[in-house]
Amino acid sequence: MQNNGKTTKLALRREDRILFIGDSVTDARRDRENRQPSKPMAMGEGYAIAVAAELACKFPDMGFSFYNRGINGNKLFHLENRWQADCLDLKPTVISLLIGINDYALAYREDKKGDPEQFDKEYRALLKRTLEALPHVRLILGEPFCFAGAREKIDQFIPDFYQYQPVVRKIAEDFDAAFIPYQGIYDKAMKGAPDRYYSSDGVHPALPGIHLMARAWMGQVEVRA
Amino acid sequence: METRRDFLLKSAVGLTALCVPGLTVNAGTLISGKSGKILLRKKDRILYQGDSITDGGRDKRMSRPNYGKGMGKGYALLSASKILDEHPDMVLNFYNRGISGDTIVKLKERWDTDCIALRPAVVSLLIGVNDYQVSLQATGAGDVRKFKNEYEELLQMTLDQLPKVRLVIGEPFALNGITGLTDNWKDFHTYREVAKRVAHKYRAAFIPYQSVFEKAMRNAPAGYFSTDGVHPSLAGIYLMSQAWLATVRV
Repeated sequence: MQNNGKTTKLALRREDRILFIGDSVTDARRDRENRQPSKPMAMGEGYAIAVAAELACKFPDMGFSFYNRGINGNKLFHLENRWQADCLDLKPTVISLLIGINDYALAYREDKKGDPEQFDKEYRALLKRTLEALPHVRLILGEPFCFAGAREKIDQFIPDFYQYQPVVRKIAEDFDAAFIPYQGIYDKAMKGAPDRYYSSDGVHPALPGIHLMARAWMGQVEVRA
Repeated sequence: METRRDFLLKSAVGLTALCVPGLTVNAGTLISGKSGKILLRKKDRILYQGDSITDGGRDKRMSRPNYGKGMGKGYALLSASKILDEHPDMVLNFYNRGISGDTIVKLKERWDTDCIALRPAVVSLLIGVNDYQVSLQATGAGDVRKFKNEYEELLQMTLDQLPKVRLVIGEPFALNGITGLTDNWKDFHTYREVAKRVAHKYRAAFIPYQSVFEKAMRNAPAGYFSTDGVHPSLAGIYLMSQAWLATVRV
């Protein structure tokens, strides 16, 4: 899938406080004790550090600060529970959110299928709460993704899981958020790569996937003075 | 007259459709001179070795190549990830075996396991800061002769076991005026010179990190690129990764 052009690029501005939040893909083994912004150990070993390091180095005059508050295993209700401390209290000006695969896995465990309506409802409620507290915040939403052929457990999610993707895309449009079409970018890259090169388990990015996600993220933002 | 800003605007690369172009952080601007590049070939096994700067808080239980959690939160992660993403057909494997606090003596003790046994085609080495600190604490000065002898022994050991290995040697660096940690390292430059000389002698590609950082410091203070003069910041790890990438060709 290509970005259909309805979502807009996100503008990064001077002194932006950029928060990455989500599940294990965002967490990426960050040091949770380190709550200071822009510290490599606090950014994890995933796309968040790759994005933050590139922006920090290329734009020293912009005064960006970066936070990672991803926690592995998280679903929307986990985010809801910790949203005050891990999002609103940080007063971010930009929130980058990637969530959905664990929500799907839970629904699948209970019903053998996803519940995109519930996912849509919870996702919108979280963003509505966010905008009430931070009316000027800019949002960038990542498309949740998974890949067939790595693990049987994940293969069972496909194609039903893919219903969660247009949900996030539509929310991005409705909330005037930028949208990162990760699945399509991964699928395209995987065509030229050995099996399981970009993800060994169908869910988590392997080393090349970290750079892929960072370039996908950078493709949906522009830096403005 | 062309201002610096105009120059930056014209030379912007990287992000598309930028309103602010950002600094050009690439090979041409970071590294001048003709030091040789290392060629990465299909199926190469590439090993990053060194101290905490290379370690980057990696998960030491992860021994397999090409995993984020085995690569740490440093320049190794960023450079390996980019090459892998851009060259999936090359089937490259990246390992990180950096360990925080290491000196050449400590590298030697674990070299059989953490280098030779991995049969790397390329060894990238960044070492020297701890060697200097150990000597400084013991005698109040560096021991550059010892450093040179040990460095050459390590490289000779490597080439004896792996005659075809290609080497990348990083210049140890120290940035002053941040926390004061490195401000009295009066003769540290001699260690940097040793790294450069052994790189030349052993036909290694050489990464002049000190000048890479100094060039970057025209755009922001030292503390923006390093937390304490020794360890790179978020901006510093990206800068180092770009310098690393500039010394290899795929």
